[in-house]
Amino acid sequence: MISKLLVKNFGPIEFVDLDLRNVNVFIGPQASGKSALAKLLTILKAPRKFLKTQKLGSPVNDSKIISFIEALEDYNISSFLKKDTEIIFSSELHDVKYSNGQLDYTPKLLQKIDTIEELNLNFADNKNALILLIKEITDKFIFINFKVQDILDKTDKNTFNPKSAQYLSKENTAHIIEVLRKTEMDLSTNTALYIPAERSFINIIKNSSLNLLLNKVPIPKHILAFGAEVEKSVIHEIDLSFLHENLKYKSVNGEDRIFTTNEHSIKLIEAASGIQSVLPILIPVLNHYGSTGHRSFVIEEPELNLFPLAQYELIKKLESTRREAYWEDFGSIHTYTTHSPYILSALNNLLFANKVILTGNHSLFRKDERLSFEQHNEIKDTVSKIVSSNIHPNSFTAYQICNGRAESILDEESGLIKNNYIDEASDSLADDFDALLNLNKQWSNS
Amino acid sequence: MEQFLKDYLGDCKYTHLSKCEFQGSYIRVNNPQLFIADPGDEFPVKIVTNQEEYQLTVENPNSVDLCVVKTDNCLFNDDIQKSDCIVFNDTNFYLVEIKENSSGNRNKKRNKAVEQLSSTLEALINAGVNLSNHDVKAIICFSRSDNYPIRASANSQRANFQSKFNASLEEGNTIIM
Repeated sequence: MISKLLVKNFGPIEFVDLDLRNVNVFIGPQASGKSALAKLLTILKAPRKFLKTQKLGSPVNDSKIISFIEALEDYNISSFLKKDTEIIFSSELHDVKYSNGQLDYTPKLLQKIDTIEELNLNFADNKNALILLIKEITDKFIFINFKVQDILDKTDKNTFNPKSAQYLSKENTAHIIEVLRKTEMDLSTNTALYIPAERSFINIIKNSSLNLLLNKVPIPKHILAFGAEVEKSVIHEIDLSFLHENLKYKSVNGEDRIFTTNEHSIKLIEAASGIQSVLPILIPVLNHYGSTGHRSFVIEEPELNLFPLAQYELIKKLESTRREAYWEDFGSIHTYTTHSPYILSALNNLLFANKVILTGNHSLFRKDERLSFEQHNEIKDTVSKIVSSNIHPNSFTAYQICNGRAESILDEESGLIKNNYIDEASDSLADDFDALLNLNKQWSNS
Repeated sequence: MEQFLKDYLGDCKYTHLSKCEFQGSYIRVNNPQLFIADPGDEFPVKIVTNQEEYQLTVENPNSVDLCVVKTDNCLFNDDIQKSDCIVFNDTNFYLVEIKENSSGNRNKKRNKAVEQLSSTLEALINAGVNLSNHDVKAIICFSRSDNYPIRASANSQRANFQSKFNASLEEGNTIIM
């Protein structure tokens, strides 16, 4: 899945033009604007969440702008707006453009649905045009495709095809429109979740929410929205053995507990900070893994409170539960912001694992062997014994944000991460140690 | 291998200017331990005693015959980016780029070293030198090696060397033959 985000003159951002895929990473020093970009991405991925009070298709008006600014306020980035701010987000589903203080929202899929509805008024004359339009949509939205096929031909479990297209009628087109509208609404409203750095805070406030409300404690809305998402989840048990042997999370009668053995457990708020930081990431991600549809997770600093190896294990766990978003209504997108050399190296290991699998496949091709499904799986299994997940470089982007600009740190030729600020920082530490050694040598010899 | 390299790449290109103790590019030795220094300032590397300043130690515990090839400012002329020296015997072929690290900028120096090692390997391969019977390593030598914390890009560079040259890219100041 490809989307684009262009931002000019927004807070510390001067100009960035990002090509985004299924796994995205933003690195950069403090206050470089990487979190602002990640928050913008969350807001613009599901714009109907903030535009839900608007009448769609209405001309640009003040209330649209107000609701956009309110969304920025929810994420504490409204003061980043400047007179000459320009923001453009573009995806298969919609385009959003903020420029000259005006907001334009172009719901591309919705416009196609409106056209289908219009053409259906005179079905007999427009059948071929309708088939073409429905095909255009079903090529990019797999669940819509399955549903359309099911409406047209229940006996054929295939995807939408020329044979099933022949069953299209005015009535079932109306039914298809209903499905399209429902899916479109869901994708434009509920697909994006920002998992903030303050995530462990929700474990603490969960049981005191009424008191906090009563005392009007100002908690940023995006944190509350995130807390509500975690609360909605139907995940009741998570294996946390990657953090510590036998460790398990269980929701027991609505209470979050951490089990250190089968018999012994403690309250989540009593658990180590790493556990409190990891669970609010895993709960929504695993909840989506068990369901259909598409979701975009922006995970701010996944490394928080974690020992280096646990950071690596967390990335492997998150990526092994990510289903590739080949279609616009399927799988998930993970966008990470990080300062951690371990997170960056973990993702690089996953990229290299994918490359090694390809090398294994090619080595069999070179021997003039036809690569069977079993052989391919054997190669994958051998690699996954070392690294349990992998990322295709075509699904991956990585940017370093600094001095208001963004620069890709993915080497196009090798598909691996190239030199970057985090690695330079590691070397700066070594530089200082070298300088101290020199002084020490000089003074001990004098 | 020595004759092979001489056939393809010749010998020192600066004989007329050289002030080196060993005039040619190829120094044959079998000492159990060697110390190599990069004097900088457009001079090639030289073998020194352990009482002098050196950056690289070559351990040769079985005292086998080995050859140290002075590459930069000696075997190669200036228009090719190259590593400082090559140390090889019948089984191992190690290219070394020595970087002085007391003045900082380790990151820039490492990336420069990777380019120099890469272009030296390319120059050897393009000249027709067959390295397939040797264990090939490209070594970045800082006088103090430091592998912590992990760097994603350093791992990427190792992967690239393996896929491009079937060579290991390492960082260190001691090589064992």
